[in-house]
Order: sequence, then structure tokens, then C-alpha cells
Amino acid sequence: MPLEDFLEEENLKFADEDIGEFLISVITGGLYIEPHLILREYIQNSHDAITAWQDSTEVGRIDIKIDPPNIHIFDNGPGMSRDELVASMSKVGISSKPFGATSGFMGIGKLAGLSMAERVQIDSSKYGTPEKNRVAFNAGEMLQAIDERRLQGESNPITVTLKEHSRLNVHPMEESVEAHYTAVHLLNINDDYWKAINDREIFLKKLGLVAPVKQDPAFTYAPVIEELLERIAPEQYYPLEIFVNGRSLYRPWGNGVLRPREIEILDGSGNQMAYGWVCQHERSEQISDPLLRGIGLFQRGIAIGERSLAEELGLYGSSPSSLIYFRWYMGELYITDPKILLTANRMSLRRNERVIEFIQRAEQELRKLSNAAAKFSQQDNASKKAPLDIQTIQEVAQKVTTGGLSQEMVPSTIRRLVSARDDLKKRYRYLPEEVKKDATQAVQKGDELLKQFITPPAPEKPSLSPLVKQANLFTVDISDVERENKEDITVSEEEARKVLSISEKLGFSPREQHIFRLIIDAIAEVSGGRDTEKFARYLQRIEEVLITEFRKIQ
Amino acid sequence: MASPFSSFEKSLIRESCLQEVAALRSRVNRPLTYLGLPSPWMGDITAWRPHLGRVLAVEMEERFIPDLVDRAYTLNLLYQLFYYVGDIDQILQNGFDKYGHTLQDQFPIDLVNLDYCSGLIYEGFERISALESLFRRQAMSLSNRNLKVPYFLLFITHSCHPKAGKQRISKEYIKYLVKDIDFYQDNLRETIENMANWYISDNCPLEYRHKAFVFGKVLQFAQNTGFQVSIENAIAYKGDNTTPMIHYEFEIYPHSLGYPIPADSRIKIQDILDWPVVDVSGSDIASSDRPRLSTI
Repeated sequence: MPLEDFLEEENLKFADEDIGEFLISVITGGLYIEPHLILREYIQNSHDAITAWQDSTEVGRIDIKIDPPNIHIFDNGPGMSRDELVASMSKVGISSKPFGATSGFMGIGKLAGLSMAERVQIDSSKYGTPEKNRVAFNAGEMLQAIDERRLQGESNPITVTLKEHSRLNVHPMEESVEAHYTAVHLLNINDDYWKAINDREIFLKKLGLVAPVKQDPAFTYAPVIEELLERIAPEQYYPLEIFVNGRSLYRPWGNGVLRPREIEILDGSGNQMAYGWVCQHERSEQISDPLLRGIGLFQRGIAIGERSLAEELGLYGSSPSSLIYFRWYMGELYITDPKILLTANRMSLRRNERVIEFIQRAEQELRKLSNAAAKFSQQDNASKKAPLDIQTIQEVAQKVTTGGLSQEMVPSTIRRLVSARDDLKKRYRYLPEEVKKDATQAVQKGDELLKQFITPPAPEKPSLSPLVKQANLFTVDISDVERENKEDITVSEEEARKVLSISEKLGFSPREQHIFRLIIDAIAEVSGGRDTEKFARYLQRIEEVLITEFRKIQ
Repeated sequence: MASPFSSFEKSLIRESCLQEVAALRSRVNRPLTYLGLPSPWMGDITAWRPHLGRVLAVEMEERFIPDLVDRAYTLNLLYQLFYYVGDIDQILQNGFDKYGHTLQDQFPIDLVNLDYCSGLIYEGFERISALESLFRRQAMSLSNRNLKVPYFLLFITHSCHPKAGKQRISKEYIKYLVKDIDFYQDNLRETIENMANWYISDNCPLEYRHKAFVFGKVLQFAQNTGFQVSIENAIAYKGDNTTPMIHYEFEIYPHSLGYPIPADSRIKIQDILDWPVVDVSGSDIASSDRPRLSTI
């Protein structure tokens, strides 16, 4: 065979009967797992219908009635004529919607409810026509039939199955000529989905985070964000009035955050790829509600995937600390670049060169946020901990001056002093100016005190100062303390190590030592952590008890 | 496709009810709570819409629920609509529907429209028991919650087609009604006997017998639960496919709710029998030889 003939190719032929019904299971069962994401698909279709209706004088609005075991979704778009409804519902994976001008473009969102409800019914009445029409999918019986055939090793072509289990009203039904709506009725929703829907506050919050709605008016910065979104790219921002059981749905942001910062992602030529905003927690803390943490990705006001998508795509970078710092933020990033395409289920971005560039650019831009959060965190920690360190040094100084320091407490006091001094040094550059002076004095005082504690005894003098005697007795070496401190351990951890070392000296067996460690861990847990004052107080008491016991056996 | 349950005469009746609905709305000075069988076409609700608040709609056929909700949406009642799926008689007796939605929480009701398209008296008499349950639920909710309402409206409509239900019962009921007339004074006893004889004769239209039965039962249930009854109307009309139908209107007044002694009623047996059944134009549907109190 000549080489040209060998390499010649032609198209593979597909007939209708070659596309099997198992695809329905894939579409219905595999693409949408949570009910709020299924509702998002219908909201998206409604959003497209409403925003495309230029002549409407009404405010675009979606009404959702949750009435177990059913959910009804209405939009006040123009509605569809019988022909339009049939054309829209009888095509799967085919959409006339141009990408960019609308939110949906895959033509499969309408099937999203098939996994959720026994019957999905779409009723529509077009403005100006005195009728309504209905298309319904008997999803429950369809999926059951597919499963039964699968068990017998059989399969129908997808078109045969869809035809068999879908219905269209024969006669148009009477409706007011002014009526205009499309209603999606999800009937007899499966119990599994109801569990999520019945947790109503969480469900509405999740829905508010993915639907094209306005910011919660109770959120302090809602007007600022609305203004920002409308100013930067109004063609990307189409919030609708959405009501669930009569209650307005909003982006459910919480307060207690700093003023929003704009973010804009530009490509190498300076073209906008995305824009948005973030708010940082007003203190150096994570946003308390896990649902709100991080930066959500949006297109035309509708969420892409879940809020974890930015992290999954790598927009937060890869270092663990960077990932954690994004929990300090809540915000939105609207993708405006028309070359960035979404996956069919709208759960992610389709990997192409443009998306890869977007991820790189976004990571660079967002890195500024994690750096800012890190700095903010260090400043916040410094301003919280420095006064405690200063106080520690002052207390020690006072005890030394007044002679109120017992000999047994000297070793632990030295450790505490070193720790406080070094902590102050470490945090000095993050301290507020007004604290720096006190911190400097405290460090100097700490140095002086330490010199007093570790003054080496003259060799010819057999007797040591009582303080140094005690220090030697417990074999506390200041260099050890400083070395440990460089490992940046907390005071309480340091105490814990000491207590454990004393337990060794008391002759605890390995088993007893193990149990003792567990006891220390348990104390840390009930104290609320190893860096708490409570834990430190417990350790101090244990230390006193151990020292007493140690002295008995000496 | 034209809406069923909307014959010309039916619309006239809805218009006539509108006045009573509006009067109650004005009296209580708030939108009314409605319980009924509106069907997906919601003809009654459409007519009374301005006066309605919560709409408790019972629908037997699950497949009609989307249409019911569609109609509520176009009437701007979406969130005021609470639908119950199943047989209203069972729902009234059991207190919950097929989905387990409880009805009692929604009581007291201001306006009950039991707009049956079939008859009233069937084997098992569930429809009658349901009526009794309605009175009990109203009384329970008003007395438990110590609510003051002036009265509630009860509209009942059913078919008078000879094949709709057990006609024999309504005839037997007439005999039951007059069983104690030996204690009445002579002239009154004679009048009631004449009336009763007419009711069980072939001259009596079925509508009259049904009227006596329904009036009697409503009166009985009301008395037992502490209500007094004011009869407003009994109208015979032609429904879809010219089916003979009858429609009743009552005002039910709380009187001695929760009290162990039945409420005394101002309506006597002779009133029940004498009350005319009229057509939509207001004319008595019985022939002129019907014995009447005023003719005695």
C-alpha cells in the first residue's frame, strides 16, 4: 500500500443509535451533586432569558417556592412559545446561546434536575400569547428503566429513551395574554437532596453565593461593592431580584471585615482578564464562616464551581501558609475574558493556554494578598504578645528587686525571661511605634536580669550564690534555653519540655513517661492549647510538685 | 382549552359570594385565610383575590400541582399559596396531607369553600365526617388560641345529579328530622308533617332534599362544637355539562366554644324545611304548591 493511502483519514460515522442512553445517567448523576448547584443551572437559564429581553419594563425577578417534596422556580422573562419551548427542550448539548452574551451555553443545564426529582416539568407562557405549554421529563421512571436495561446488558439510543420518557401537552392551555413566565417544577425531589435543602439557612447561603444576586444590604460594604462592580464592568454584572419563599436572596456576606480592595487580573498586554474585590478580616483571623472564606470565581454574576475552585486551580499559590492566609479573605473575582471557557457543568475552567495564563497572572496578583495577610498577622500578633512579654520581664524584675522569687522557681523564671526577651526582639519590627520604646526598655532589663542570674562563680570561692546554685541544680543552661528559643517554640511548649525532663530525672519508666506525656497533652487540650495562660499555669503547678518530689529523693 | 368549573351560572354565584367575602374582610380588617378546592383554574380565588391572604388549596391530583402553582404565580399569590395533596375529606379528618403537611397549624380559617364537583353522600360518609372535623378544628384552634373572630364563611357546593351519591339517605334524613314532631303544637305539627310529606314525595326536587340534609348536618355539627349558624343562601344552578348543582352559603358564629353544652341555635326544623332553594336569578325552584310556613 502506498504511504499516502496508508496515512489517508476519513471521518468516523456516528448514527443516532450509536449514542446510548447511559449518557443520560452521566449528565444527570455525574455533573451536579448538590441541590444549590442544580438550582443554579435553572437560575442561569432564567437569568439569560430575563437579561436578553430588552423590551421588558419590569424588574427581572426569579421566584423560588420550596414546598417539600417540590421546588418551583419562576422567572418573569418573556416566556417561550410552544415552538420555542419544544425547540429548547428537545435539544441536549446544543445551545443557540452565544458564549459571552449569556451565562449558559452548553444546553444541558435544563437536565440538571433529572437526578434530583422524579419529574421535571417546564411550563412557559410567552408574553402576548393567550396560552401556556408544558414539557415534562419523567426522570424517575427514565433512570429506573435505564438501570433495568443496564442490568440485562441492554441499552437504547439516547434519543429513544428521551422520547419515551418526555411529555408535551397536546393542546395549548389557556393563559392570560399578558402572562409571561417560565416555570420549572422539580417534583418529588429525592430524600437525599432534601437533607441538604432542609438545612435551610445553609442551603440559602450556598444558593446566595452562586446565584446572580445583589450584596446583602446588611453588609457594611455592600454599596461600595455594588458601585465597584457596576463601574468596572457593568456588562458583566446583572444581579436579579431572587426570592425564596418570599424572602430576598442576597450574597450572604458577614461584617467584621476591612474595607474592600479592588483586584484586577491583566494579561501580558494589559487586557483585563478578571476583576473583583476582597475584604480581609478586621483582625488577624480567619473569616469565621467557612462558606464565605476565600475568593469565588464568577461569570456574569453566577458562580463557577464552588468557592474552593480558586484554591483548586492554584490561584492561592502552593505554600501551606499562603493557602491559610486566604481564609482571612472573602471576595469575588469576575472573569471577563471571553477566551476563558467553562467546563460543561460550570464547575471549573477548561484548561487552555488562556486559562493557564489567567491562573499564572491571578496567582501573581493574589500573592500580594497573602503577603499582606501575613504582614497583618505578624503585626497583630506582635501587638497582642508584646505587652505580655513586657509584663513578664517587669514581673521578674519586681520579684528580683523585692526578693519574692523562690529558689525553686529560678530555672523556670530564667527560661520565661529568655523567651520573653527574644520574642520581643523577634517581633520588634512589627510593633506599633508607641510600644517600641517600652519593648526596648524591657529587652534591656531582661538582659540585665539574665546577667545577674548567670554570673559565673569565682573558682576560688567554693560557695555559689543561691540563685546560681539552684540553676545548676536543675542543670538549666542558658545556652540551651537560647538555642531552644531559636526554634521559635512557645513558652508553654518550653515549659512542657522542662517538666518532661524533670520527670525523666525522677526515674519514670518509659511507659510512665509516655503516660505522663499523654497527661500533658490532655492538659493542653482542656486548657485550650499550648500557648494559653491556663496551660502555663498548670505546668507551673506540676513543675512545683515535681521539684518537691525531686528534692525528696535528692 | 377552556377552563372547567366556570359555567356562566357558576360565575354568577362566585360574584354573589364576593359580597359576603368582602363584608367579612371589611369586618375583620385583614386579608382572609381561605381553605378550599380551587382546582388549577382557581376560579373562586380569581374572583375573590383582593380579599384573600393565605390560600390553603387542596388538590386531589398530584399532576395538577404545577398548574395550581402557575396560577398562583400569575395571580401574585405564589408565596401565599399552601397546597395540600390528597382527598380533602381525609385531610380534614386526619389533619395532614399525602406529604405529611399538617393543616391544623393553619386554622382558624376565615373562608371555607368546599366546592365538590361530585355528590355529598357516599358510602362511608367521609364527606360528612370531614365536615364535622372542620367544625372541630375551627373550634379547637379558636378556643386553644383564644382568638376572637366575628364569624367564618362556609360555602358548600355539590352535584345533585341523581347518580351522584346515595339519594336514599337524604330522603331518610327527612324522616329523622321530623321524628319528634309529636311534641309540637297541633298547627305547627301539621305544617311540618305537610312539609315532610312533600319532601319525600316525587314532587320534591332533589335539590330540596339535599338542602334539608346539608342544613341539618351543618346545624348539628355547629351546635355540637359551640357555633351558631346563619343560613345565607341555597342556590341551584347548572354546572359544567349542565350538571345540576347546589351551592350553600353559611355564616358560622362562635358562640360557646369549648363549653360542654351545645350552642342553642336560632334555626328550627321548620326553618330548615321552609328555606327556599333558588336559582341564580333568585326564584324558588320548587313549584308553587310547595308547603311553606307563611302559607299556613
